[in-house]
Amino acid sequence: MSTRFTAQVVIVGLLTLVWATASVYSSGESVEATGIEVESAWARPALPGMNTALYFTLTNASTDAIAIIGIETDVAERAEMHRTTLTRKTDSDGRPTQMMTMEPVTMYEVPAGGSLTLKPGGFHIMLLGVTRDLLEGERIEVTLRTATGDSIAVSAVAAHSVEAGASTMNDHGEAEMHSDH
Amino acid sequence: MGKRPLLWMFTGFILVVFVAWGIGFTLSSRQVDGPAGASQRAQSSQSAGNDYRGWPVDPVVRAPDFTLVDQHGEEFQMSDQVGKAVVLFFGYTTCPDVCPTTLAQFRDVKSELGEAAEDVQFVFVSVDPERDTQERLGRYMALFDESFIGLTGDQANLKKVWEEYGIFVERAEDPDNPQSYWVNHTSLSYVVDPQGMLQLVHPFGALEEDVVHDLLEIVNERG
Repeated sequence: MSTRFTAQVVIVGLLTLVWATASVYSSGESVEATGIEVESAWARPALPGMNTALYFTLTNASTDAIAIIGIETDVAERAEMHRTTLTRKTDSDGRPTQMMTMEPVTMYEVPAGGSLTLKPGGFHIMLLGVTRDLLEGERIEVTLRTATGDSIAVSAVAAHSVEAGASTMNDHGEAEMHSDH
Repeated sequence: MGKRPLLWMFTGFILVVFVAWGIGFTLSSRQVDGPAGASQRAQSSQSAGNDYRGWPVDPVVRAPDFTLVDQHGEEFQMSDQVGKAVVLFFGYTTCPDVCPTTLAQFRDVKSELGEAAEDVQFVFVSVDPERDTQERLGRYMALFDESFIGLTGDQANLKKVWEEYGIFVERAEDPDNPQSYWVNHTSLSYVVDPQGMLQLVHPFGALEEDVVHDLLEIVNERG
């Protein structure tokens, strides 16, 4: 057996080993299996009958874009995907002003290898007709449906800001995704 | 090398996979944000010797007077507030995003102001009298701070106030639910000094520290 052959075998072997090890380590939580992670999920406190908004960051580590097309929850009568837009304009006296408009959207797309942040003044999930007290610190469970039929479980905390939410949340919030198609 | 092409090809394949995996990993940290820069810094201004970080009202005008009823059923007259700074925001209790975000910021600002908070009154004026009853406003304000005043009234009275402050109010139907509607509206907060003069506004997204800075300026220099 030549030295060169042995060297090749060693190189290939080492590379494969490193790759395999790295893959195992990076697939730790729910990220690699399905490629999506939910972080910093929070919603503002609300009382029965009121509306509130849910915010979080979705990170898509997979090679395919993910489209969120629906939301299910038992904490509100309905849940809708919305977007707030803030526009600079001039009022009737010619003074600068700012107008808030809100519109429903049909899906949220999270690009492959990218992320999408839902935050005040931008994309948010609107919870309409809250069915129970959502006081500070309480958990809010929501399921996101993707265009491919997957579901993503989001566990949010009722808080007055993302910072306040983060301080009552265990490390990265909780996210689980499972396929049911 | 020609002797074992398969082995070289395999080595090459492993290397290519490696590099591709590395690139994929690097790309995954790319960020795509929502449409609004929620933390845009309020423009600074040097006019009239002030260094407000919000948008100055130029020229400064007397805050239009009005009388409305608060969540406890008591009359609130704007011109009676002399001696206290007033921060006015126009919104509605069914609003899920911008209104509660603003009230939550008022709450944080109030706590940052410390003792100076006693010289500032935060007021929420309804743009949706049809749904915003006193009772509903009361429950809503209590979620943020019991000292906040929530004002409502009949459509005609409120409309006059909106017009005098230059507030846009635009009803938008909810396509998914005919019984429901949204109200698109001006998202500024109006800062009235203790002499009753409308000095400046803060846009939605103004930094909390900038709002605190301006309010301290307002109550210290003009109190």
